[in-house]
Amino acid sequence: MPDLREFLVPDLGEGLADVTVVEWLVSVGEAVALNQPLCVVETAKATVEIPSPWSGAVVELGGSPGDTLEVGAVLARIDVEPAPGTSSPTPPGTSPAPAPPPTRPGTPAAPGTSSPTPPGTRATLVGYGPDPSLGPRRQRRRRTGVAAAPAGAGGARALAPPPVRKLALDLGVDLAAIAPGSGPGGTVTRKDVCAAASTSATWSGASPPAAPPSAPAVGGGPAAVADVVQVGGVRARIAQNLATSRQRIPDATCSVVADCTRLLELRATLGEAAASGGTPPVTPFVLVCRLLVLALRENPALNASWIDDGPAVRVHRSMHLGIGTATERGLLVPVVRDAERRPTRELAAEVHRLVAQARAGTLTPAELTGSTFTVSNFGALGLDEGIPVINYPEAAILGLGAIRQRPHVVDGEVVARPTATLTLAFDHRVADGAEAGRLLSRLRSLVEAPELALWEL
Amino acid sequence: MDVLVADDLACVQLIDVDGSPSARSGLDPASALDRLPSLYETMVVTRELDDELVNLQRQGQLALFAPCRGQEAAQVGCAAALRDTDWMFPQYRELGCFLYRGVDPVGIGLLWRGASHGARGLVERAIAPVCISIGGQALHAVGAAMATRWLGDGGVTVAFIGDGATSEGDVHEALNLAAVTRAPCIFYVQNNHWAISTPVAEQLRAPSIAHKGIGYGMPAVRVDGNDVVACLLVVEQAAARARAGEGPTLVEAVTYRLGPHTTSDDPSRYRDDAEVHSWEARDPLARCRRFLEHAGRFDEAIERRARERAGSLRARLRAGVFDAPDPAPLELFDCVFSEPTDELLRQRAALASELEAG
Amino acid sequence: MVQALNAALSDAMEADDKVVVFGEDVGRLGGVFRVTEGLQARFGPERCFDVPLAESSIVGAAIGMALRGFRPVPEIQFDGFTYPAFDQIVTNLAKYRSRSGGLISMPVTIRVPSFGAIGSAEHHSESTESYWVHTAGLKVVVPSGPADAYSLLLGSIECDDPVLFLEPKRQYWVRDEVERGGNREPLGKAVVRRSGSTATVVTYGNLVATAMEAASLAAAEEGWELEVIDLRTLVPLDFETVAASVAATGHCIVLHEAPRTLGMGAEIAARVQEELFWNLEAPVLRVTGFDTPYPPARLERDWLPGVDRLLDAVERSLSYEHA
Repeated sequence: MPDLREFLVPDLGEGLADVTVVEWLVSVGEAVALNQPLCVVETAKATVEIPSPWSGAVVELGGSPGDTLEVGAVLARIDVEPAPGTSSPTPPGTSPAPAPPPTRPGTPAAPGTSSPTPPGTRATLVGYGPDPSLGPRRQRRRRTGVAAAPAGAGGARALAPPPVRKLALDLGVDLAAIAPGSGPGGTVTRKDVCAAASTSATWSGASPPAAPPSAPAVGGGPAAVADVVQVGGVRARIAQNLATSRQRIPDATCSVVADCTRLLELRATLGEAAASGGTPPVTPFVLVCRLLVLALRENPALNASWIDDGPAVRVHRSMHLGIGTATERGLLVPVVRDAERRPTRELAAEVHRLVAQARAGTLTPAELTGSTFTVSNFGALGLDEGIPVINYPEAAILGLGAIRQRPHVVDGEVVARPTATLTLAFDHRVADGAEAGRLLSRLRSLVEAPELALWEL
Repeated sequence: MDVLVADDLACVQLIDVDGSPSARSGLDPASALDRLPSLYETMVVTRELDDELVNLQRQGQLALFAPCRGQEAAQVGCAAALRDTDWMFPQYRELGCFLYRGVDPVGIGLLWRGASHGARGLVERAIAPVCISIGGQALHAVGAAMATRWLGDGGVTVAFIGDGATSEGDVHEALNLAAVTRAPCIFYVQNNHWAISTPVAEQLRAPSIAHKGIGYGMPAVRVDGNDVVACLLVVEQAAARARAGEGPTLVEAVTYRLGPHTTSDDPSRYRDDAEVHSWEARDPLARCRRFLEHAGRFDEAIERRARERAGSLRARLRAGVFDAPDPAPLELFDCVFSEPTDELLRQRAALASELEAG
Repeated sequence: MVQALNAALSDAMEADDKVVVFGEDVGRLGGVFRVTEGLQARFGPERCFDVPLAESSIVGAAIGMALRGFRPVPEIQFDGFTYPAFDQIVTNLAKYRSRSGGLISMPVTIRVPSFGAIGSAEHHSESTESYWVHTAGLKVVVPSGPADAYSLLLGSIECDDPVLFLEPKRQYWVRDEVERGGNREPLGKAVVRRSGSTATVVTYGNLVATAMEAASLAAAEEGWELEVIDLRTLVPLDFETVAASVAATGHCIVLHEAPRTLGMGAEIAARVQEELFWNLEAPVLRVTGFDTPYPPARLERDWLPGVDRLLDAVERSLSYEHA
């Protein structure tokens, strides 16, 4: 049975792409021995003999004298199991004596028969030579269809530090649209992005998902198998902040039940005063906030932030109280700045204003950032208890449950009292349970006996 | 007579150019006669495998090969003078030494194929990895010799260098260090007359390479490197000196590189055919065979056995090298450190995922 | 490229009889890559000559010649053999000017056939540039094609500072039209080989060709317009050209075959983040060789950075804008 093998033009280590056939030393049909010279080839640099890699019968020659063959082209086809009658002169693997002389690079013949080197012959010293197929294409690992971003007008791109770029990406803000920004040299700042997000971005619950930039919508796109609601703007930012909080803060929670009887009595008294003074009504929430500020001043450890680089704890001197506020556009946290310096009346007015404006969407970015401690009044939603998520990067958040008449034990007797559950979630790196407990216990004492606050006035 | 202290640096020779016994040394070849058929056989095998490796390169199977044609006696004679536990520090052309020690030629072939950097098969036989950068191994041989003495194992080490390497700073530092520490080390210089295109006459102005040994304070001897008996007996003496605590020796084996520097070299550009022919007339294989005949130790069975062994090793070499599969690329990362660093593991994973993508 | 280098040497020797060429096998043989072919015949064995096999002596002697007013252009036969000369290059050649308070110039141009991708033997495919770039006082030049090889070699020889002139062996047999006539290229100017607005690819030497191929494919297959910068000289580094491009694209990928850690990519990445922080749409990415010794010939095609590894990195960079 014929067993045809192809001998490809070898790379002779001279960095060549091709060779030119000078002379065939065998002919088609002839038997050849292993290592028997097949031909003489000339490259731009040398003339060399090429020995046969197999014994067998020559079936085809790759070119005529004068032809140029590329490296990797067929030099010869050899049948290594030819039909009887063309058996090779010597069996492969047994070297005859004398052995076929090895051909020499750059010398046209073996020693003893060497002829003058053709003019201009050259050879490199080492190697297979440059492989024309080096670095063959393989499948690239990812095929995500990322499109090039359109170049900015005139080639100018928005300038922004990477974290701001990330924020813009998260909030769906097009940096190019708001560039130049308010930072040095027209750089877009975090504030610029937040402002753009709160004025332009909306939770487009009713609109269909936007097509990815590289996939132009054709024919309406694929059939929907679920309702996908794109999240942007405020909600996206909240989502990011909640995720960050959960990912980065090892939080713990504790809670107490407070008897709010005296607090409600106080509120009634102050409510009358407010009505006569023309100020907004005082709510139990505002009173709790005021008492919380008092308790925090005595226990400042949780008016703080954890700093990863260091690590360290930054204890804030001022108390900027974040007020968790449900709005149509999602949760907002307006900030009562310097809450510890505000009398109750002023605190009540400020909370009233902030909540109203938050719902109206008229707060400035400054009024929505910079809190050091946040209070969540989920009791206003009718919820009895809950575990709030810390407003990253703060150290703690207080959750206030609904005040309702509940069974309560007073002097060994179960009686109905208006009670509320106060829940504190705190960054356990910043404070231990004891410190959190002191804060929360002190707050309960103040809520149950608000007149104690007089000591601090 | 102790040739090592001879102040006459004429070549030690026991086999004349025509193969008859030579009077040019006081050494008695009798001790070598029994071993000579086996040395002859290894020289024949070396020659044939050398040819086969050249052929494989011409057939596109090897990146490169540095043939040793013409230097078989210098290599086989030296290796035969050593114990199997004596460390050799080769350059890259010492096929005869490798084969004498029983190194599998397939490993040598794969080294030149560019499938590995090639320490496997050598270090197991007390042979350091080939040292393609010139001369550095001479210092390694000295350090290993110092260690050998501390270990008290009675070993010697051999630094294989060439005429070109004697110009490298490392070699001079090695000679001095060995002399000063009396290290049991042999500097075995195969003077094959050509460092690529530079003839030995332009490599040094000393009357001989052996003179350099004298300058550094060690005995030095020139030996006919195409005379396998002379090489054997001279290195045996040098080794005995070293084992006896008498320090290093420089042996200059005067031989000739009949082939190109490597398969990519074109020696016709820089040397005359006449010079090549004159050395072909001193072919070490023919001289050894005629010397055996003179001594009445030759019979056709020796030749037949040598050719048979050469033939089977050629076939083995060709089978193991021709179209041999490439090693796994990821193995590159496994031997950089004793334990790969995290960064290397990341890079390994990156390449793995590329390869997986096809 | 070999002929271009040969022409530059010949023209330099013609113009200035203080230019001398020497090394291993450069005279009679004309160099193992034939770069010095014919120079000995034309200019005589005093100006183009072989020396004994000792790289430290080649560089050390060049220093002495320069001290006496010559402009030596020695060759170290292969990249891996610069290491025996490392001490002379780093300790002496690089520092002579500063040690002498500026009194002594070292107009030495060391030519080194360099880099891989030719299926070569061990120690014959090294990327040495980081050693030199890291050594104050050395200029480092890497031409990517014949025309630059000619003009940059002339510029290097004319330069009064020591230059490591790293010739990509893989490009030796590349042919191109080269305008002769002594047009020398001042050192320190990169060139934009292809303009584009999508991302900037910074490279040099062998991999300029790879980057150009990748850019063609990227344009055809992905619609990306890559800007390809050929640094040409690593010291002095033309950062202005890099900065202008990255400011426009916001994406920067550095491509080299030297191992990754502390390669040129590390320096470019550092400079880009220092000076273009606000322009970056994505981190600067490096596409490089691995942190292993250069592999045996049969494995180099897997080891070397190629078109696809580069395009993967471009894609990764662009994905930051669409996370």
